[in-house]
Amino acid sequence: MISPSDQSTTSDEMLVAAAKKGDMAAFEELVARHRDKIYARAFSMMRNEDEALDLSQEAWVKGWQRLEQFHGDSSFGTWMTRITINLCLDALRRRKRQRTDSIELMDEESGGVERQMPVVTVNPTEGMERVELRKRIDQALTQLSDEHRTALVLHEFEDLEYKEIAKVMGCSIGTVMSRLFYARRRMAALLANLKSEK
Amino acid sequence: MNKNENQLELKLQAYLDGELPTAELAALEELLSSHTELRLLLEELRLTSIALKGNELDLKVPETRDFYWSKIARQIETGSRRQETVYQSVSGNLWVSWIRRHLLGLTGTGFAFCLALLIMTPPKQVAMKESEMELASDDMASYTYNDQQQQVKMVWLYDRNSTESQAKDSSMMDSENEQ
Amino acid sequence: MKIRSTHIAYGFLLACLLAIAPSLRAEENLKAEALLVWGTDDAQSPDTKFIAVDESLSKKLLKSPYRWKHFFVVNRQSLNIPAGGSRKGVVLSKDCSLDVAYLGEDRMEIKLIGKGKLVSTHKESLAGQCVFIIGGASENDTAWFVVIRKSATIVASSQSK
Repeated sequence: MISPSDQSTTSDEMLVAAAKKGDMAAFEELVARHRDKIYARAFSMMRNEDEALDLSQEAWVKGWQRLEQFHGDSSFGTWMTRITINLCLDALRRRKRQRTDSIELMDEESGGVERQMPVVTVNPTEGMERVELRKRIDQALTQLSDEHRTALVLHEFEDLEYKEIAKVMGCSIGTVMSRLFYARRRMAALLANLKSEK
Repeated sequence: MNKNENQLELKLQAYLDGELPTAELAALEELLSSHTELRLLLEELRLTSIALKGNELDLKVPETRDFYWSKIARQIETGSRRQETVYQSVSGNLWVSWIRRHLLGLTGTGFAFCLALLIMTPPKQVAMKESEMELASDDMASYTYNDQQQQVKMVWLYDRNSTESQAKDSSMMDSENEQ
Repeated sequence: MKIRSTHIAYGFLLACLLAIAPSLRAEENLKAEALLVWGTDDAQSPDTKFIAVDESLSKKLLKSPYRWKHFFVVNRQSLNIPAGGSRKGVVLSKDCSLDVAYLGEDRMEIKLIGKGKLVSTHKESLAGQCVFIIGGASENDTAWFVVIRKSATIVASSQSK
């Protein structure tokens, strides 16, 4: 067992090894190190603070239960992020089943809506402080549908490839590409709009 | 609308993301060199991607370390059952007993209503595709914009051959022109 | 058999359902309106007859990717079309008219006629509070919009003010 005074200097790998043997304190240290990142990922997908809190905590519980399955192929933070993403996707699917209709899906079926938006020629970051840009991006993300936001988050923030996104989202690569394309075009328009409102 | 144009734009995106098959690279680069609108679109996608990467909002968990952990620890100790599942099973049980009590009455009422409706309702048309559009001239083209939140569908028509209308269209989002 | 309060409740429920059943069976007429709207960056309308669009429509137009900030109603026509019926020659201006058909279940076919010639044909659903808009460039960096929406949408938008 790793003593509390040693935990803050111990690597993630050693903490994971200790946690696998039942050391809850080691796992608690891992939670403390990565909780903001996990929560932020849950929030970026769910756009709701309470849901993000619940899902991030559920992800940690699942992480504890599945620790034996973590073999260090990726970093612990990345592994936990994947668990969080899967839980969020399940929650989004449940949320979607409760909706009575989905115009967004109709957009996809009618095909090519997003590619017909006028091209935005303004650099959305030009002249903007980073803090301000982050806020605007966050604002704009809220205006995307769950499917489009998820594709964007997984590609732009998690750096997943198309086929990985398709596997995670349970859809075809073509659908991923369409959703990502729409999301990017919509973000461009939203950021340009937000900038012109300033 | 034109499926080939759609495929081309997705290939452009794949090119940006390094996911375009090598065999298609040369053809796309040739198209890029001769089509301004494709280059503009690629630039828009590139700038958007750059804007997004590394600019996610820096969020912190809105709870103290101890409080946040205490809930996790509790769930780990008592099992990984979600509170939502508990709520659903409890409320589910209440609903089931209520339905059982009123099953016969509700079924009879429902059946009588459905029968009445069936007698009075004419057959419905088969559901059709939501949106269809046809332009009368090959010289015309369109942009379509759908906004789920605002519940608005817009179709913007323009003359392909008119450079003036294209310039206007491309300047629609140019906030610099407004200034 | 003793008549219980639950029997009375079911009977009342059935009576209510049967009362509304006739209103569910028939396809109602489509009550809608078509507007010709002018989009501009000028805050003032050049013609006092042209009034600003209502707040709800203005909000939708402002949230679109198109950059105009002010919208004025040039003309307005009411539509009341039975399912399977149509109305030809809905005149919005000397250059612009519509042929509108109601296909049933909130679905419409709209033909845009410009200067006497067919420009485009659209089949759209106006389910819920959906608004359908066709637009194009006009002189002096302005734009025209043909807006089609159900009458319920107009009531809802005016009530939300």
